[in-house]
Amino acid sequence: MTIQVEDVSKAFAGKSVLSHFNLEIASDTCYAVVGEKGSGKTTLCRLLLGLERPDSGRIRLLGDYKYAGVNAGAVFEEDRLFENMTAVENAALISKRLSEKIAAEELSKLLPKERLTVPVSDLTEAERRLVCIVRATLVPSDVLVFDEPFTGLTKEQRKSALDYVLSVKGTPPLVITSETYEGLSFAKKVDIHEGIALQQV
Amino acid sequence: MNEKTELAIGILCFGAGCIAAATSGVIGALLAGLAGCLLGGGLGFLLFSAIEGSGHVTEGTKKALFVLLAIPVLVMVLFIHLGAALPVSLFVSGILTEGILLSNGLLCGYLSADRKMLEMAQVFRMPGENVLRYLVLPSAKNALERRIPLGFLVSFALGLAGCAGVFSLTLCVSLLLAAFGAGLLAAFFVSHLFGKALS
Repeated sequence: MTIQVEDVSKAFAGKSVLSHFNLEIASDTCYAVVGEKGSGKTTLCRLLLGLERPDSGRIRLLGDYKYAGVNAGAVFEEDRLFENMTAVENAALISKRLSEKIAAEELSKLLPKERLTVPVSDLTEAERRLVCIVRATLVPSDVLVFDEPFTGLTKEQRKSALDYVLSVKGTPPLVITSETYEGLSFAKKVDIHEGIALQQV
Repeated sequence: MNEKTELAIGILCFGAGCIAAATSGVIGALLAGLAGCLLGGGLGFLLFSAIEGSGHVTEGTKKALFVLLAIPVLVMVLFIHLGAALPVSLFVSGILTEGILLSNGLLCGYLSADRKMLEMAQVFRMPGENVLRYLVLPSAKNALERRIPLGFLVSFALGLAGCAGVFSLTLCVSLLLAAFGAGLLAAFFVSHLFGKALS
């Protein structure tokens, strides 16, 4: 399956956020959307996730795809966790097919076991991001969209999180937004500036 | 409108209903009529202030709720004139009134649920029962916790006011219910015009 972002524009309250943006997202490929704050990265993610509609242009799902919208695994810019629940509960409740045992096994690959059973409100910022990253990979998806997933992570945590994601993601494409390209050289770089894709390497 | 004001209105309605119920004859009926007005006013004002305050409900929804609010009055008039037993008419109108209060609480609860969490649930295709259990019901519970005690007070007062009217004269009951309806209507317009400023 290929996701084609074709000449997409989006504005909020009259302010253009994305302007005639084009991108083709192919299976088994990783993309690093790199740009400063306010460049339109989050809007692009929201459009890909079907949470916003483009003002003009379109996002097409090409190939043999039977669903109306894309099935995505996502890391949002904010954590979006149930604060009074544990990491395991947060990860397990997103799907009927997920048991707490499976969720705990996966989470323990990135987090210490003793941190899995405390409410996420007691976790550090980095630990919460790791919970979000694992949660995003636990449901079968056609695309993974990670919006600034490494905020607050140390270099080691960032590397282990990336290794984990690449080892479990399978063939779906991975779209990661970041302010820097550092550590993302495995991914195709898409520079974005004020809502315009400058180049696709 | 803050909780203290809501509670004050509820107690006022409850007190008026009690006085009406405790008084017999024409005075009772007149007081019941007054209680009806206060009840209608209080209930209508509360509901529409809550709706205005939520900022999410459309004009169409307000009109639909207004129609729903008028039902207990119509049902009571209809039932009493058809000669139905008082408990039946009170039960039906009470259920309807409570239903509206509860659905208002649920609606406000759903609308006040965290939008970002609902988006997360949508993206992950979270099972409906989990969305209901972990997102909608907790916020509905918060809304209901604020509305239910007042709902009981208002319904109880409505019942007492209705009893007082029926014990007096059927005509007076109709008067009471008409006054209730008029109060509700007036409250709707007052709340509609000034609800946002007062809430």
